[in-house]
Amino acid sequence: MGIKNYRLLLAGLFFFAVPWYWQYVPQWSQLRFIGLPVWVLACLIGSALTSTFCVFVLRAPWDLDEADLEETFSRDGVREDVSFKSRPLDLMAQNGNQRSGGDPSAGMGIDPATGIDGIDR
Amino acid sequence: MNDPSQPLGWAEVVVIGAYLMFLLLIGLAGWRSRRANTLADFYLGGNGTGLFVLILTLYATQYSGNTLFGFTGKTYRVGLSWTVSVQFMTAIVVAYLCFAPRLFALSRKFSFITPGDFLEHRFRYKPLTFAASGVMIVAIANFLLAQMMAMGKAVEGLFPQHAITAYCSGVIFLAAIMLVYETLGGFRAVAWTDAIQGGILMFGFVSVLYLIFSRFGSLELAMQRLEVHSPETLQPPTWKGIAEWVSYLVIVGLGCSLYPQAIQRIYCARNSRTLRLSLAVMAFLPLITTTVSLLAGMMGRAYFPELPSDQSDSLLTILCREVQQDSLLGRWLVVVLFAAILAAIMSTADSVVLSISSMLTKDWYASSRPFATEGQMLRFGNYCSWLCVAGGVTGAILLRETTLVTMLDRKLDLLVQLTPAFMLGLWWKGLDGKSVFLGLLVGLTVSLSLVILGYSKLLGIHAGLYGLICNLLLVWGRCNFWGPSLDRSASVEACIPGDAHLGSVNIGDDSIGHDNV
Repeated sequence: MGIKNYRLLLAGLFFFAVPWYWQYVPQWSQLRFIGLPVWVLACLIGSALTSTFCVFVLRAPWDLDEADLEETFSRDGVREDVSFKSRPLDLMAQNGNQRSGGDPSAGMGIDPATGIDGIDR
Repeated sequence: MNDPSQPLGWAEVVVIGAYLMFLLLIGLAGWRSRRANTLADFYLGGNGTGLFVLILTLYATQYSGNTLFGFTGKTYRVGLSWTVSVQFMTAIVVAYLCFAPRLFALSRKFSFITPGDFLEHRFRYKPLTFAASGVMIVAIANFLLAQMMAMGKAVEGLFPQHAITAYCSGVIFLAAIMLVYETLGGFRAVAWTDAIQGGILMFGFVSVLYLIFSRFGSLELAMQRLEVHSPETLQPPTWKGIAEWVSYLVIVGLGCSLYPQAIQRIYCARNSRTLRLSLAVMAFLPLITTTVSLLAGMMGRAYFPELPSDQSDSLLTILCREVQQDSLLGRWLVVVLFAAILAAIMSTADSVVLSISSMLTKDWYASSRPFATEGQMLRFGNYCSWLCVAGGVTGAILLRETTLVTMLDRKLDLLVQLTPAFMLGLWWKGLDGKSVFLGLLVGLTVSLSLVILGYSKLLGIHAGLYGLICNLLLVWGRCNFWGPSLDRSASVEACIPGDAHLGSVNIGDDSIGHDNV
């Protein structure tokens, strides 16, 4: 799904979850389900759907993913070369690139020189 | 035999004391696990935080004592309109989706430690880095003060006959425990204690729900009572209420996602999969935590309708007292809940202290002392933590009678002004540091002026959002109309990592070295 569709879906959820429309249907807003007014349930369902939307977006790996980082980190999450950590940050950054065999931000649309997206948005 | 006038007996106090001592042991374990005497290891745990710990540390950091006490009290006062609290906690995760993936990738590449590291790398404009760090420190320092006061209040509730002594001892004792485990283990100790505290907090929330329903009966009964004596609490919001609702979604969503301690938790994830899964779990936590506060507040309103407004934040304590008298199980579940309250307060406070210490060290001290070694910076960081906690303890004791620190409410008004720097800064290449800096100043001026004039909310909208609109307009106007001709001609190569550097792969790495080490 494209980013425009994501935005549309999020806007739709926002419209549903914010209870702006219930003041126009007062007879419905006070209907109850397990004690709670339905407008509250609609808000909670809207929130649950937004959470599901987040999971849907998060399900796909980000372009910077395991393949890049597993080379830098061993299985228990500890950098393999301890002395690596005690170096100045600039060397750490350069070393990180060399050790991972490339640019970790590759594929994210991030400019390797600046770290910023190459496309004006 | 327990003294009925005491909320907790000695056996229960001993159990809570043992729990606090256990936190010190975790600090010791964190100290033994330190692998290098570096800032990255101390402040980010070597960037190796796994899924379980990351979920719980995010949870414990994001949900403070305010979620238990403040949200319950607010629901009591405003009714079901506070359902917005469930949605704005979800909005924080939506806000993360806008910047966490990219920020995580950059943090890995350029070894960021503080939020200021990103700003310095992105904009190369020192005034912005200093100002942004300053705004973050001021915003969360107030948060720390509130947590310290909450520590004292929690202990005061245990010994009501010696209120002042209990309050002062509570603040000093709990702050000392927090400081010891944090100084020993740094981020590891904080994250591990957060994991335990997060687990207890989650269990505490479930306990609250069980205890309240078992004591007072079903939700339907409570709603029927409310329909009789407080029907206004069940009504959907009017247009003014909707404006406030949307305002809350935006200001909390953006502001809380920009907590520096939250940004550092993005940096510290072991890998992107860990971060993705943690955020996915976080997306559902409002439904099982904030909803509990909402329901507890409504039950309290149904069964204690005459509570004065200024005592509504103590509603949870009152509900617990009721439940406690019912059964032995209830009594011990209240002990768990008390531990959860301490957990919520301490886990937020320790993360704030560590974050302030890292920003003072990395963004301010390291900038003024470019040749300082990592050992010197770590020592300075520890001094900062001690001073920070000492200041918090002193402030909490002096302000014991204060019910609300005015600036506390302003933390989101301040933090939200950093939205252009982080969220636009990650995506908009044409954005320059000076524009963001000026936008930040204008945004802060507008929002604080409104607050000083007594308009903390205008037409239901938070003052911070008016500031943010002015901030964004200035940034947009400067970058699109009158700013680029000035900045790009003068200092684009120095300040903006833009087109000028596209061809040079090592520029970003080299400049990080010059600026930050």
